Amino acid sequence: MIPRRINWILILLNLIQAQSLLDASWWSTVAQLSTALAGHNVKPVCELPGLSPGQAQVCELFKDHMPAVSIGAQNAIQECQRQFTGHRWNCSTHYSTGMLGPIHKMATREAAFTYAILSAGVTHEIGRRCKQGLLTSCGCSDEIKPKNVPNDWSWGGCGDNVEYGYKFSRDFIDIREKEHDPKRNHDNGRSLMNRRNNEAGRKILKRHRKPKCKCHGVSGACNMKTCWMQLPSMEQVGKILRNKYDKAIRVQINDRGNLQLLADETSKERKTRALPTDLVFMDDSPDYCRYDRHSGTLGTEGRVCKRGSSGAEGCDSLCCGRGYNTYTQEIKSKCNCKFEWCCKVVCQTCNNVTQVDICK
Amino acid sequence: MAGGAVIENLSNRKLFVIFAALLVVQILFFLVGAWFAPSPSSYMEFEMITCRDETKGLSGKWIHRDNCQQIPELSEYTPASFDLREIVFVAKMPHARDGVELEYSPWFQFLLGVLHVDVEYSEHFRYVAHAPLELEVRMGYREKGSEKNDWKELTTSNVTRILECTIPEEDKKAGSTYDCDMLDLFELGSSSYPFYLINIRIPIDQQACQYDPRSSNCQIGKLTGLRLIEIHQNGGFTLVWLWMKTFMTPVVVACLWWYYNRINQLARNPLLLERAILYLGLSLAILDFPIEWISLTTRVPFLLLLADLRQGLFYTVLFSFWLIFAGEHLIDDTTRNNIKSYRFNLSFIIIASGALLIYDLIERGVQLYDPFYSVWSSPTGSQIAYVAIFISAVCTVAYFVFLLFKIVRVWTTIKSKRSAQLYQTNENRRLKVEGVIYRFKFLMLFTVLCAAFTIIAYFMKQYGEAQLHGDEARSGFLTGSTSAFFTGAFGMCNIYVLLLLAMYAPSHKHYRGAIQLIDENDDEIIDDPSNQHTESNAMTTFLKPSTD
Repeated sequence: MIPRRINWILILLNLIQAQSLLDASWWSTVAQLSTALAGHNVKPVCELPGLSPGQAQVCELFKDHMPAVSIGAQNAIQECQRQFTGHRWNCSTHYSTGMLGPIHKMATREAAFTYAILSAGVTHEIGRRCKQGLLTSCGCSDEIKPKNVPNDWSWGGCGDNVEYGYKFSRDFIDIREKEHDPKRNHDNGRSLMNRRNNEAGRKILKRHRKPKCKCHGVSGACNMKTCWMQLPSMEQVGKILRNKYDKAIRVQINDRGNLQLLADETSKERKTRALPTDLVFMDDSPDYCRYDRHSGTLGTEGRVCKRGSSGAEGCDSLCCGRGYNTYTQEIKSKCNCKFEWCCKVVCQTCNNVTQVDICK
Repeated sequence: MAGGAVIENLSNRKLFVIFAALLVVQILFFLVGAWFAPSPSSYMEFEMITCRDETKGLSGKWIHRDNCQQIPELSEYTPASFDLREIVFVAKMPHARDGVELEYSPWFQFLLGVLHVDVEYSEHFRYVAHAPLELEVRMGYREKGSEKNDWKELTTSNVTRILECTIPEEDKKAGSTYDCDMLDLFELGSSSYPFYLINIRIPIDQQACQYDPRSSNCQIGKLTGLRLIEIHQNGGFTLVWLWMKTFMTPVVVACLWWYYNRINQLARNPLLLERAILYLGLSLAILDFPIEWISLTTRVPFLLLLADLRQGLFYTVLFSFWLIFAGEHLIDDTTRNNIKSYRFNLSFIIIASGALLIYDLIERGVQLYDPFYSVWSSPTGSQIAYVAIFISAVCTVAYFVFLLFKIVRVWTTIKSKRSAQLYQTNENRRLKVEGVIYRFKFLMLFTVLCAAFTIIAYFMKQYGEAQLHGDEARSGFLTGSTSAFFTGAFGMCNIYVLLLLAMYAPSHKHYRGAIQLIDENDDEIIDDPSNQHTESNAMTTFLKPSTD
C-alpha cells in the first residue's frame, strides 16, 4: 500500500482533473475525508467534489462522523481488494489518479459488490467509533418509561451502536440515490439498484452479528443473563459478500419504475423473490481485459499473474490471451533473527530472487 | 401426623375462589414485569482507546481522553520501551450520548466488566493456546460535582487470566482474527459512583519470555485491541423489583405471624412439618425483605453477596421442606415427626448448599476488597471452584433421586392402602388416611403446576431473548418477557409459600383444644359437628373416583 501521506497529496492533485472523468467514483472522495479533516487549515471539507448536496448537508451536521466514514470506506476497499486478488477485476483504481475507490459506470455485479461492501464498511466503522466514545450523538434506546423518571438511560439502558451506524449509513449514503442531481444524468433503475445493494451490505453486517452472553445470576448461574451482539469483522463480511456476488440476481426496471427479477436462463431453478441480502445487478460485466475509459475498466495490463495456474489468477486467464513478460525480482527480507541480551532483535538481510510474470 | 389442616376443611367453592384469585395475582405479577419494567439488565460496550504514556505509569497520573496521546494503529506503532508499559488502554465509563454525559446511578445495583481481547493471526507474534494474559489495571472513580478529570483511585490490581482463542485452520493467514473467549474483568457490588475510568497496561518481560515462554503475555499473539463490556441492572427494573418486594414483605410477615399464632395456640407441640413450613415462610420473609433500599443512599458493596446468601437460604429450606413433606406422608412409617430420621437425606442439601456457599464466599467475598478478583483465574482457585460446583451438582442430583424415591414410596403406600381397603373398616381411621392422601396430592399437584409454570415462563424468556437477537429488534409481547419472567417467578415463589402457610396451618375448627398428638386422637373428627358433610368437601370429591 502506498503510504498515506503520499496518497493524500496525489489525491488533492488529482481531484480536480479526475472529477470530469470519474463521476461515478464519489466513494473515493469520501475515503479521503479523513485526511482532509486532519489539517485545520483545509477549507470546508463538506464542499469536496463528489458529495451530493444532501450528503454535504449531512456532512456539515455530523462533521465528527466523517473520519469514520472515510476509514470505513478505506477498510471496505481494502477488503474488496483482498477478496478479488488475482481476478481480472480486482477492485483496483486508476493507477494514474491514485483514487481509492473503484469506478463503475455500468450496473454490473462488481458495482453491486462495491456498493454493498462500502456501506457495510461505513456502518461497521461508525459502530466502532460509537464504542470508542468518539461520536457524541450515538443515541440511547427508546425504552418506555414513566414520565417522572428523569433519565431514560438510568431507566432502561442505552441502545445498540450498530443500530446507530446502520441509520447513519442509510441516511448519509442512500440520500445520494434519492436526490435528483441535474449535473448527473439521472437513472432511476441504477439508483434503485444502488440503494438495494447498499441496504444488502448493511443488512448482512447486521444479520451476521453473533450474540455473546454473560451469566451473572446467583453464584454466576444463568438465571440472569445479559447478551450483546458482536459485529462480524470486515473480513467475514467480505467473505459473505463474495458468495453473494457469485449468486447475484439480475433485475430490470419495469414500467412502474420498480425493480423486477429477470428470469435467468442459465440456472435451472427459477427464483421468484430476491432476499433483502441478495445483491442485484442489471448489466452484464465487461471482460475487464482492456483499459476502457468509457466503461470505466482498467484492463489487466501490467498485472502480476501466476504461470501454469488454471484459476482466475493464472496468466492465461488474467492476461486475456495477450501473453506475459517474465522479470526477475529481488526481494530483501529480514531473516535469521536473533535475540540479544538485553532487549534487542538482530536480523540478517536475505535476498530472495523470484520470477514475476506480468501481463502484456 | 398433622391432621385437620385448613385445606381439608375447605369447600370446593372456596378452594376454587382462592385458586382463581391467586391465578389473577400471579398474572398481575407477570404483567407488572411485562409492562412496567424494562429489561433487567443492559450493557455498554467500550472500545478501549490506546494512548502513549512516556512515564510508563510511574508518575501515577491518570490517562484519560483529554490527555491521551492517541496511538491510532497499534500495529504501526514503534514503542520506545521493551516492556510496553508506555501503551495504555483507556476507557471511561459510561459513554456520553447525544452530547449528554451519562452517569451511573445507585439504582444500577451492580456493575460487571467483561473483556474481549482482539487477536490477529500473525506469523511473527504467534498465539499459543491457553496463554496467560497479565493486565495491570487501575480503576478510578469521580464524584458527581468534582472537576472533569479529577480521578480518585478505586483500586489497582494485577490481573491474570487465561486467554482462550480459536481460529479455523483455513483462516490462518495474516489479517484474520481469532475468536477469543471473553474474560471476566471486574465485579462491583454497588454502583455508587457516577463515573469510572480504567487504565490497562499489558507489560511484557522480554527476559522472562526468553527463559520461559509460558510466562505471562509472551504468547498472547498480535493483540490489536481491547473491548470492554460493562453490564448493569437497569434502574427501571430495580425500581419495579424493589417496590414489589416492599409490597410483598408485609403480606408475608402478616401471614407468617398468623401461622405462628395458629401453631402456638395448639395445646400440643408443633409437628415437624408445621415447623418446616414456618421456617420456609421465615426464609421467604428474609428473601423478600427490601434491604436494597439502603444502597440508594449509602455505599453497600456486600449487597450482591447478601442477595446470593438469601436466595441460597431460601432454596435450602425449600428443598428440605419437600423432603420432610414427602417423608411425613409415609403413613406407616413410625419414625416420622423427627428431624433426625432425615439426617441422611438432608445432608445432601446441606453439603450442596455448603459447597456453593464456600464458592460464593470466595468469589464474591474477595471481590468486596478486590473487584478484579476471580476465583477462576488461578489454577488452584478454579480447581476449588470446580470441586465445589461438582460436589453441589452431585449432591443435588442425589437429593432429587432420593426425593423421587420417597414420592414413589408414598404413592405406592397410598395405592396399597387403597387396594387393601383396610382402613375402610374404621370410619375415623379412613378419614384420617384420606386426609393424609389428600394433603399430599394437593401439594404435589400444586408443586408440579408451579414447576411447570416456571419452566414454561423460562422457555418464553429464552424465546423472547432469541427474538431480540434476530435481524430486526422486534418489540413484540415476548421481548419484554425477561423481566416478566423474573417478576412472575418472584410472584410464584411468594404465592407458593403463602398458600402453604394458609392451607397447611392447623384448622382450629377441630383441633384448637386438642391436647394430645393427633395420631392417638381418633375420635375427635366424629365428635365435631362441623364435619358432617353438609357441604361438598373438596377432599371427598377429590378422592371419590379412587375410593369408589
